[in-house]
Amino acid sequence: MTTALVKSNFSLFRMMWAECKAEFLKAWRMPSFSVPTLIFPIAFYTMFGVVLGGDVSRATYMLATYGIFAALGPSLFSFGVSVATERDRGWLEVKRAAPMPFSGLMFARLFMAMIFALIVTLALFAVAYWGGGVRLAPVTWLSLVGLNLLTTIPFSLLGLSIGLRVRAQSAAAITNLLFFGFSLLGGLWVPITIFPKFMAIFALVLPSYHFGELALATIGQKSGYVPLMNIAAALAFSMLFAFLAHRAWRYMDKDR
Amino acid sequence: MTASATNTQGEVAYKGVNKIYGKMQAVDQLNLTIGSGQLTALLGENGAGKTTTISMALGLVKPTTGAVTIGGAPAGSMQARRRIGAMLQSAELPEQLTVKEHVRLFQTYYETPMLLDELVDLVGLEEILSKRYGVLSGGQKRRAQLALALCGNGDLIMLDEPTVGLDVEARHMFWRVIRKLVAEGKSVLLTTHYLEEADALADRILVMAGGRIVADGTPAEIKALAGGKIIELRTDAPELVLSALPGVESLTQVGDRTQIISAKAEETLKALFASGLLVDDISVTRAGLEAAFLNITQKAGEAA
Repeated sequence: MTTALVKSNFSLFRMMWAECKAEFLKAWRMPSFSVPTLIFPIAFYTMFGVVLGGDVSRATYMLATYGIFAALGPSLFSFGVSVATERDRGWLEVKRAAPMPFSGLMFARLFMAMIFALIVTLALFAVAYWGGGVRLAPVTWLSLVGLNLLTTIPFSLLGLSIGLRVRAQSAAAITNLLFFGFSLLGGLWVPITIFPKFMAIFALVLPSYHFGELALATIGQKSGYVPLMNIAAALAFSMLFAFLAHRAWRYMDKDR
Repeated sequence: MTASATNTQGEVAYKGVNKIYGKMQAVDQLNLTIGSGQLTALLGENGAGKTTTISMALGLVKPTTGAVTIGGAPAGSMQARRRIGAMLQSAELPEQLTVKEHVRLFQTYYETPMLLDELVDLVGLEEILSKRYGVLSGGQKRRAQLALALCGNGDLIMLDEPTVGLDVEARHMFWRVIRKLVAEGKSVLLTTHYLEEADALADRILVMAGGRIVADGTPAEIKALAGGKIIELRTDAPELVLSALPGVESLTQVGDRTQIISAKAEETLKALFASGLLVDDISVTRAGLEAAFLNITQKAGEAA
């Protein structure tokens, strides 16, 4: 009866905005999250792509792959490690009991991962433009931003399927392993072509490799080449990760 | 804000509820209505089914059979969740946000949240409002958790072991807040290990054992179930002889003294003196909730 007298303050938009803001602040204020996800890609790119690279083509090539690397960090760590940590601390139970859709929390987290990926992408652009002399058509710069942001989705789903299932310590180990494995063996740090043949073949089974190839196609490093195989592989991996995340979600709700 | 008696939004109803995990029956045929401006304390040993019972009301655990409703709405539905504010056992807030940021976020979940100033006064948040959760002391953390449970202005407040690890002063502060909520017509469901807490606060006490409610009544009624009196004495008489005395419910050895819980203390003492056993240093007190609780759960254990 009181609800009829008091004007309702509730708005879904306000709630989601507050949730996104909270997720971003939480991540920003946690150095163990923000330092590796922000600093690693920028420092590594400056080092290997610009300072030691020596020429514009190298700086351009690596701008593409380091952008994917920049998308991997916040997605995998935010969903893999942070979700597992909050679950261990009983916080996710509080959220599930609270009157907010739990999927809203996951969207807020994805939004946060995208903001981090966007910040790093723009920083990489600055280093590439002023440090490496990289010049691209406006539409190409924009396409890279779009691709990097889209890349956060499948890797967030993969992170989620880890974070909802294993305890925080194991989640940290698994996530680090995937993060560095995907980056190095998927050719995001150094071109896969300088690796021995068998490693180049192994890269084909890594999702990071295919997203890296799409980034390279975006900047025209693969002239006259339609990356159909990479698109198909990227979609297949995305569907696989969505399936795994769905299974993990069901596992979380098994008592419900 | 008229009569709280008509407010049934915070009423929890369990109808034929069972919860089975594998082969373990965590909750056994629960039929129960809790709430409507009352403070109900749920007592029981670990594994008695308290947390499962609470989790089902919060919609975190689904009953194997039966139904749980909050003010008529199915537990776990958005409508039911809006009516509840909960403080869960061992749930830690993210450390990087300040208390104020946490509260502000939670307020957006509700239609008619409590005003921040009101909440600050009620729970005593002044000094910790702009501090990050991670730097708070244990007692301050509990206060922040309580603030989140109350900030939605729900009709039902569920507190799972809210005062564990608090010092006496902080515990009494919690009690004051809880009493105030009940006075305002809110329903409070509390689980606790501190029987004196249930005794001090509750209008109604439920004792759980083996997934069932084994006792249900006012604190006075529950205490009466223990048979009323504790006789403490020093003796070297064998236990078998003592337990055969009339009215004796249970025996416990405390140091060199023996505690006898008796339903008819006068008759027990008469028989004791008549028996010619050597006894010394006798005291007789009314059984408290603790004795009642042990007595009830022991009997439930023997019956099972």
